[in-house]
Amino acid sequence: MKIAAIAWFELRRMATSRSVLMNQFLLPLLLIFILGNALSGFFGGGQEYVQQMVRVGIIAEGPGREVPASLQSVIDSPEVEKLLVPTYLMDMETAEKQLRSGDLDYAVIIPQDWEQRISSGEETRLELLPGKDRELNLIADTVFKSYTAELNHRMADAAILGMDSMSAWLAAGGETAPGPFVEVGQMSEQGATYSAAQYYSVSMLVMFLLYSGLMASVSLFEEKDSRTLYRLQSAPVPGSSIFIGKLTGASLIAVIQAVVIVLGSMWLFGVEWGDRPLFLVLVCMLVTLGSMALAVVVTLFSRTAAGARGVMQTVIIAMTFVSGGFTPIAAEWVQQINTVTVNFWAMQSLLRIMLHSSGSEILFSMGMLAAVCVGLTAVASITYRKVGYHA
Amino acid sequence: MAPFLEMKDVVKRYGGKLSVDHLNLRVDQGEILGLLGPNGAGKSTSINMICGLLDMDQGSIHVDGISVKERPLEVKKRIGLVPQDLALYEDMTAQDNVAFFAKLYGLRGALLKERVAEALAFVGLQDRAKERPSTFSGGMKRRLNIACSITHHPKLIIMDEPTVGIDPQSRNHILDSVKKLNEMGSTVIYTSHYMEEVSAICDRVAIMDQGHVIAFGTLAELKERVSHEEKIIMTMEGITPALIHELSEHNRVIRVIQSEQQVEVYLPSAQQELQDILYICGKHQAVLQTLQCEEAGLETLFLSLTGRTLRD
Repeated sequence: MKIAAIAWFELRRMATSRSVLMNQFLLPLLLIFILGNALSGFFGGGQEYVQQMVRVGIIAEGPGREVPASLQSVIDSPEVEKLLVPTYLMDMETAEKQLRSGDLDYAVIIPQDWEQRISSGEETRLELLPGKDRELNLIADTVFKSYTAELNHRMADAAILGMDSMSAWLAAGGETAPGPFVEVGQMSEQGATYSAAQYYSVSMLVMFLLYSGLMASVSLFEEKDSRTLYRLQSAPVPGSSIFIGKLTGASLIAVIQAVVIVLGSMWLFGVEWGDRPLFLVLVCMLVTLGSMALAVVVTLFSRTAAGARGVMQTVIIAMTFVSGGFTPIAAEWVQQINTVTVNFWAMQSLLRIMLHSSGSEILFSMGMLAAVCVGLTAVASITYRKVGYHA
Repeated sequence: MAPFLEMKDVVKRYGGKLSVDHLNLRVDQGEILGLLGPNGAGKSTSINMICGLLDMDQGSIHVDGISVKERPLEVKKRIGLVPQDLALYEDMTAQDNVAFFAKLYGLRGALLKERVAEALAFVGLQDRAKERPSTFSGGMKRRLNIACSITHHPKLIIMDEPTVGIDPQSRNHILDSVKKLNEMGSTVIYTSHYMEEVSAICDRVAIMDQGHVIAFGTLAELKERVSHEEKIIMTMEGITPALIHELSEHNRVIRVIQSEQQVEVYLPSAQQELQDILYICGKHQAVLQTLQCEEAGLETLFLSLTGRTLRD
């Protein structure tokens, strides 16, 4: 009951603060509006994506100028047929001319030593000539690079199993292989992409839920500075109850904040949050848990409120940045750091919920998020036991 | 009669330094005990240990027969601590402040409302209940600080310098409140730097220095210890070290204390030695402005025991 009294009082104090109302409730919605509009070109419109066909010129330089059977099977496969329109050409000059004139979007040259490299077990490579359209180039690149990557992978297998099996398989057009060379699928069950408003709603929700930890940290310090902690500790309440009560109060604010951001973004910007509200609630709760754990660690190791605030802000901004919360980042080192941040897994979970991904995909991201948050909570518990919270 | 508070052989060290040194103190039920001592005497440390806010290294403390060490939460239920520093939520109303702390003592519902109103009325803030402390004067904040500590009708109220930095009117209000709380059955421990406050409200006084009690008794008993002393207080211009030295060397003078333009001369009989004292002042060409003779009181005892004034 005393924890509830402390939590309720904390909630009331924060709810009456103008800065809390501004920073925790209005600012996220404002940022979603600004970023969602300013960076909308980076994302789809949230509608079904309509794929353009890529006109590809194919030039075989080898003996008989024949396209290898394995590549032909890829080009003729039903999935790739929807993406590429092949035109078989005799030389590279024609291809270059047609690329310049816009009659072709992309060209592929099968080198003269293709068969020879396969027979000798060497790495194979296609010569790729991109056209003018970045998006169409990306599609064709993906198909042909996937093909060569898979082919080289299987050749590596053949080096162990024997070249005879490889030759037989190639002669059969790759049909006896364990799987297709190129698989075309969709990231989500309904095939929709997310809009900028959706992306930044997710990003801002996660970032501002983490900011509720900063609020908790400031409040824990204020209690010391205003000497009210001294009075609280003279009351018949265990020290841990005071601590938990205050964190519960800050968590309640975070819950209200999540509701405001989700409903606000829905009503104001038409953001669609998917059809799994329970998962959405669970992700918000996990982020709040992570946020409070982070606040505990930072607060108990900091000497001043300003110091704690600085550290918390740096950590939150850094985690938001590397997880692509401000703008998606493709750098490999960033991708590696991502895997230990709360933001990354929270955003993955929420975006998958939005895209109506399968339950297993959502649960995987949520599981990773839970693992990160449980780790943080364990560190926070150990810190509290070692350092304590005193007036 | 069993004591309401008993501290036996209590020791507290910070690092290697003794802050409380084998302290023994006994407070009877229903009394107001004045706790005096210069800064660093160990008063606040002792209060923190009584309230269970600080662990003792040695000894025992019992409040209402309950060990602080063994059942700190039970002891805390019986204590109302009025901290020296204001401990209020400036962003919440006076009523919210009082109600919040009352809830921590288990008060709920109608009883909570009744006690909150009672506490605010007790300190004369019933008309300002809905206002925030940030709009209050220093004296009003001090009174609210007291209200937050008394809603649960504590058996023991500990007031740590509750009148610091406030106007005389608010001070009188607080002193009257302390007396009323005592009349209502609470035992009170009152620390202050103001000797006149202690003299006005306390039944007994404990003087602490260097971590233990160096004098304990009723006001009359303690005054008796310095009844052989009187003091001449002179305000003058032209005070020189030579003048102070010659006054100190006088064979009837016990001690001389100088502060800016004031000199206090302690001696067995002011009337008998006044002429000599004035002669010495004249000899050193000091210009006398005011002169006052009075009996030595608690302040003198404090000075003679600790070698320091209360505000040192």
